[in-house]
Order: sequence, then structure tokens, then C-alpha cells
Amino acid sequence: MNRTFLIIGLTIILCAGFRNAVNIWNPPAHFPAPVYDFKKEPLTAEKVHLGKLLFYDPILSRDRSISCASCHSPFNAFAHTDHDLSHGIDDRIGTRNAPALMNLAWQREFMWDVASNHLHAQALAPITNPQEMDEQPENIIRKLNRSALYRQLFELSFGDTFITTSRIVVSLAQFQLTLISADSKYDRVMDGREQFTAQENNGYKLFRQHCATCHREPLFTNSEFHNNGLPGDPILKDAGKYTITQRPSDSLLFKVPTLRNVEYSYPYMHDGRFKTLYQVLGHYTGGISRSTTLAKELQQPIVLKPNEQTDLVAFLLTLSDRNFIFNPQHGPPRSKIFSPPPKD
Amino acid sequence: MKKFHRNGLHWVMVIALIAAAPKWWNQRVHQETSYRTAQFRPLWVVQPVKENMELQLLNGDTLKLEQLKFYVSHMTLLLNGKVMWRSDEEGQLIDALHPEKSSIRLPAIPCNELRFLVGLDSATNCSGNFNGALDPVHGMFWSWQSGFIHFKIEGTSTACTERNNRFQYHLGGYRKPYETSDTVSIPITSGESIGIPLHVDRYFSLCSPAQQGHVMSPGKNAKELFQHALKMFAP
Repeated sequence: MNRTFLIIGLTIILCAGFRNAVNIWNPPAHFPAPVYDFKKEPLTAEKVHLGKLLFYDPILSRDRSISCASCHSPFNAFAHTDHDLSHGIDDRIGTRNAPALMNLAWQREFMWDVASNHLHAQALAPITNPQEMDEQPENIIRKLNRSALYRQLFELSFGDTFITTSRIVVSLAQFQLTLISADSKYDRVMDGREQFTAQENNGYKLFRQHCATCHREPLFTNSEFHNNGLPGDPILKDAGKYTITQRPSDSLLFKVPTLRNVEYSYPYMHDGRFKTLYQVLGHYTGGISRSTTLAKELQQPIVLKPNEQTDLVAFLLTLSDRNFIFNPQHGPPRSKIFSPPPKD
Repeated sequence: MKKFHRNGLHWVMVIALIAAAPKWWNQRVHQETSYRTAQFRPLWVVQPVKENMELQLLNGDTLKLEQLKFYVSHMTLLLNGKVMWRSDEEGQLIDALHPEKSSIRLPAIPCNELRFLVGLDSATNCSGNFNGALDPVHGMFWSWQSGFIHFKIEGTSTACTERNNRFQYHLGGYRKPYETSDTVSIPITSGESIGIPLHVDRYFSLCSPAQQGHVMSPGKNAKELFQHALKMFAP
């Protein structure tokens, strides 16, 4: 009898330990192994929930006016369609287009110019950027400590009410890791549940011929940095990866973005200069600016007839994942936590 | 079946004991090991340096130090070249102008050399770990390019032409060829505490605030000034 209780007790303890890890991390079977180290930092429901609240809470900005979601809206695949360049605090305008957020567990480096080397570090860049949220971690910790709800959520997530920068960025990362997009028509075609139309199929062939080296399937990015031949902006004078590494060979290199949900994540390029996919194709077929660091894949001109461009766009639209865009688990939390914002 | 259950339970207990043993042993070693401190002591030639103390440069200009902070990592104790102990901490932050924040704890074991990395290695820079000494609230993390400032020297100098005569050297970077971390070796003797002199004057004999008032991003200049900063540790 005692042995039975012991076994039941051990089973309960073991199950309790794994309770929070269940059903949060469900990587698509056709994706490669993730880069993020889940052994070091396993996902838990509590941390994901806390991270989601922080993601949508303007408390992270200096004057509580903007949140992460201000520039990373779920309905734009966590990009920002209102602005070509990021719109920050006090109506300040940044220097880069807010990139779409999805499938981040498969990325090693972040930002258009390799500025963030870890998902945990990434959140600190917009938070502390004077053009974006203009806030410092110590102030955020002070503000969060004033909230009984946040103290409780940190305790639920980490075992005590101690709020640190590390715990904030880990929670934000945990929520963002759940932003997985892998249920587009493309995915359903790949696993045999649907079929491309003839037009989409032709677009897919053209895609594989001209685009797939950099926008590699199934993530539709090779996560590398390339010079895609954009003429430099005379006002922004953005040198891309060179800004960070100071290596001449990195001049004008920018991160290859994913094409998943490209229908929702306009405008395009690091400075948001193109509003439509046809403008993007116009660049690749006739607007390449040659320089010493131009990607080797773009050395030869890409030729696409108008009907081929239409077919290619038809294929790109199969990368739209409405279940991702309208997933309520990703959307704004239903909480009174944000209003009215308490003032210092 | 009964026997299997009994034996199974025994095996569970044996595995649990084996799993717990290293932790128990470490705790035991930890409890039984005595420690001593190593204190970084900033000097201007032979004079101890304090925050905002007026310091005389060779050319007659003066300067005052407001910040002298740096990371140390891979702390290792050696005896005649043989490793006796190695720290498992990812990095410790030394705030050299504040004695209460400028010491490290070392085990009191036979050794005659202390070796450590000034700065943090690239793995730590890319780890996404912001706990303890690595918390950005310490002002040693560049969020705009994800990397730690390995060495921070700030203050004012009458000769510095920057605003408010302020000089700022934020020396860091982990990407080649501009990485800023290097190993230094300090000969030590036995005793309860170790004093590690930091010859601040040597740095300012090579870096003039009048010529170069600020360096605040990784690159060639940061690497060059970091090499000058390493000279503070030379015996």
C-alpha cells in the first residue's frame, strides 16, 4: 500500500515538473532543428503569459506611450505597415523598417544589421533606443515593482517576486518563441493536404529558380546577410552590417527577411522603401545597383516577364498564414493591466 | 512482479543517490574550503587612486577619474604552471574606484599565479545571459549592438576638448578582428588577501584625453585603447 502511494507520489511530482512544458512548444515537423537552446531555457506557460503582457504593455517605454506591439502588430505579421521607418516615442522616426516577427527560434542573429546576437538581447535594443522606446532597464524594473500583478506574475514564472533585466528579456523571448507560422497554403501543399493552382505552381518554379537560395525553404530565409543591390538612401546613409562589424566586406549587407506572411508585412526592405511586391520584383529585375559587396546571386540579371511576375506573386501569397495572423493566443491580452497607466 | 517492484524501487533510490552525490560533494568541498580575497587597487604611480581625485599628467594637465570598471573572467589559480582551480563564473564586474566592489573571492589553496581574462569571451557575449554581473543595469552592455563593454574609463581632464572636459572610453567588442579581451597573469604569494595593483598612470601615458576624448564603440580604436588598458595589470 505504502509502495503504491510512493509510486503515485513520484508520478505526480514528475508530472508537475513537466506540466508547463506541455503544448507550448510544438515545432512544425518539416522545420529544421531550432537554434534557440530550449534545454537551457525551457518554455513555460507562465513565462509565455508574462512575456505576452510585457510585449503589449507600454510600460516598457519611457513615457508609457508605446509597446513592442506598437511597431510589431499581430495583424501585420508582427511588422508595422503604417510606417516605412519605425515610429518611436514622442513621434520620433527611426532609421529602419520594423521587421516581421515569426519563427524566431530558428534565428541566430537579429535585426537588419546583425545588431542582436541573441533573442534575449534583441529586446533591449528597441527598449533603450532613444528613437524607439527610450527607456532603461532599471526604470522598467522600478515601474514593474510597483505593480502587484506583475510581482505576482514574476513569482509564478520564476519562483519569487524578484524582477531583473534577465527575467524581463527571457519572458519577452518566451512569448516571441511561440510566434510560429507554419500553416500557410504552402505548408498544406507540402504535406499533401492541398494543391497549388497552375499559376501558383509556375510561381513556385520561378521562386525556386530565382529566389530560393537566399529565401530558403521552409523558413524562407537563409538567416544570412546580403547586399541585395538597393541603391543607398542619401539621407539615411545606412551601411547595414558594416555599422556593427566595421568590416568593409560587410558594407551594405542586410539580413535576408523571411517571406512567410509577406502579404501582411509590407512595406519591404530594411528602410521600407517598397510598398508592393511588384515594386520589389521591379527592383530585382531592373533596379540592382552594383557595388563590390553585391550578392553573387544577383550578379546576373534576373529576367521575369510580366505574367511570370504575376505567377511569382501568386506563389508568394500562398505563404500567408491566416491562422497565425488571427491566432488569439498571439493577440492583445484581455487585461485591465494597461489602463489607466499609472504615472511616476 | 512483486520482486520486480521491490528491485525497481531499489534501483530508483540508487540512481537518486548517484544523481545527488556530486551536488552533495560540491557542497561539502564548498563548506570545507577557506577563501581569501584578491583586491584590485588602482594606483597613480604609487599613490592609491580614489574617485574624483586630482591626478597630474606628465605634461602638466590634470584629470579626475569617475569610473574605472571592467570585467574579469576565466579566473584560474596555478601552482608552477599547473592549474589548481578554475572559476565557473561567466564573468565578474570590478568597479575599481569602489573598494567594496573591487574584490574577488578565491579559494585559499597552494598557488603562485593568478591568471584571468580581462573582458568576456565571445560565447558569453552571445549567450543571452543577463544575470548577476552581466545585468545591463550595471551600464556595461551595448544594446544597440549586443555586446558587453569590457572596460569602461570615464572622467574629466583639463586638456580634454570634449563637452564639459569629459572623456569616455567604452572599450569592448568580441567580433574579429576587433575583439577586446586578453589574458593576464599575476604572480601571487600565499596569504589571506592579494592586492592586484592597477597602474592607471600607464594607460594615460599612452592615451591622451586631449588627443582622443572618447571611444564608445567596437573597432580599431577600441582595440588599441584596450591594449593600453591591459598595461595597467603588468607587474
